[in-house]
Amino acid sequence: MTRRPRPQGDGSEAEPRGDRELVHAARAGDVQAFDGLFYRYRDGIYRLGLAITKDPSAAEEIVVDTFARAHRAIERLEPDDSLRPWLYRVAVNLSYNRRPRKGVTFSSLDDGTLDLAAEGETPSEAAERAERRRVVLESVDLLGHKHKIVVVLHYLNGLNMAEIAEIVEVPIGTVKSRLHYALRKLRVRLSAHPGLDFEPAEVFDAKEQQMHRQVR
Amino acid sequence: MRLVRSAPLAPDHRLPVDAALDEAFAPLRARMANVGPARVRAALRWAPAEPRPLRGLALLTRVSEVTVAAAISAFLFAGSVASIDAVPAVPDVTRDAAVSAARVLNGRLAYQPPIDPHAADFRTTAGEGAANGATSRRPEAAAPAHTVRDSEPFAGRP
Repeated sequence: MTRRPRPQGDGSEAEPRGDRELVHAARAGDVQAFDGLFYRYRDGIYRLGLAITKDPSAAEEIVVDTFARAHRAIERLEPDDSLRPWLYRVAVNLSYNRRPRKGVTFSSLDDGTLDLAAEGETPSEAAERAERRRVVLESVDLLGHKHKIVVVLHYLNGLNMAEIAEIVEVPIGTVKSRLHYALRKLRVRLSAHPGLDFEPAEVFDAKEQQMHRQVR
Repeated sequence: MRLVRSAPLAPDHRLPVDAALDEAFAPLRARMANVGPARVRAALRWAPAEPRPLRGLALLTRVSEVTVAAAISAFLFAGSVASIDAVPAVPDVTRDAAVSAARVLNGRLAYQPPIDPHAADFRTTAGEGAANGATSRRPEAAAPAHTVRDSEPFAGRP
């Protein structure tokens, strides 16, 4: 499985030092080193929190809480290469343990996303694209949380299987399996929507059975 | 029990799902967090480390504060111990005995200093004072001399 491109703003372009050096410098009291770590992973953690909680202010609090924990644990942190798995694991736990605010309900992952018409796109095409996006995100939302977190980390945060395995603390094979079943479920759900140009579930299943027989 | 693993999704099936997920997450992927590291510091109440000279000065200040506090505590403790020594726990009986020699027993069976005959009693009214004065100046009547003899057992009785 190929590594997906990292989203913008998740990165290491501003601070040339690696995570390990930054952690050691932050431990010695270097405030800029800790800020460098913060700016490196802030947006990724925010998107992860937003995808799980669907609440922008909760996602911001998750960013703050994650880095507050990192600062408290800075003496114990010994990242081999990247601090990302540790930070994302904390963020995932905080996101799932967070109770939804009273009186505030978010219907789906697509809340707050901008659906502006792209250049050269007619309003009807933009509306169709927005509808397709809504259906896909609703389908992701209907997945169980073990499957959903794998999909979010892979497709939203651009993490590879090894990184996801480290974050969710399962073997890589389990991550692959979860992603496989998540995609199957999504495939079946999306094929039920006629406007999405997916093959009907029966055709898809028949093709899969045929492929299965060939493998045997 | 499943004897046969399900086959992986074929690339031509997987690609549309991949593309749909990529497209669906695109707006979310463009979102940026609007928080800075100052909020983390506020959450931790974490102040950045002070420069070294200031830290030395702060240490000196702290040592002097502790010294003054210890001195005040020792002074207060010594004062409280001394005041406890001034009041004996057991009454000094010998001193009371010595004092009692100079005192007289009053009507309530309590010792009191002897009354100075020249002292003025300001509690009495003027009339009482005058009466007291007259009493004190009255010549003492001679006590009738009774002679009792043993042979007269009831002699002297009214």
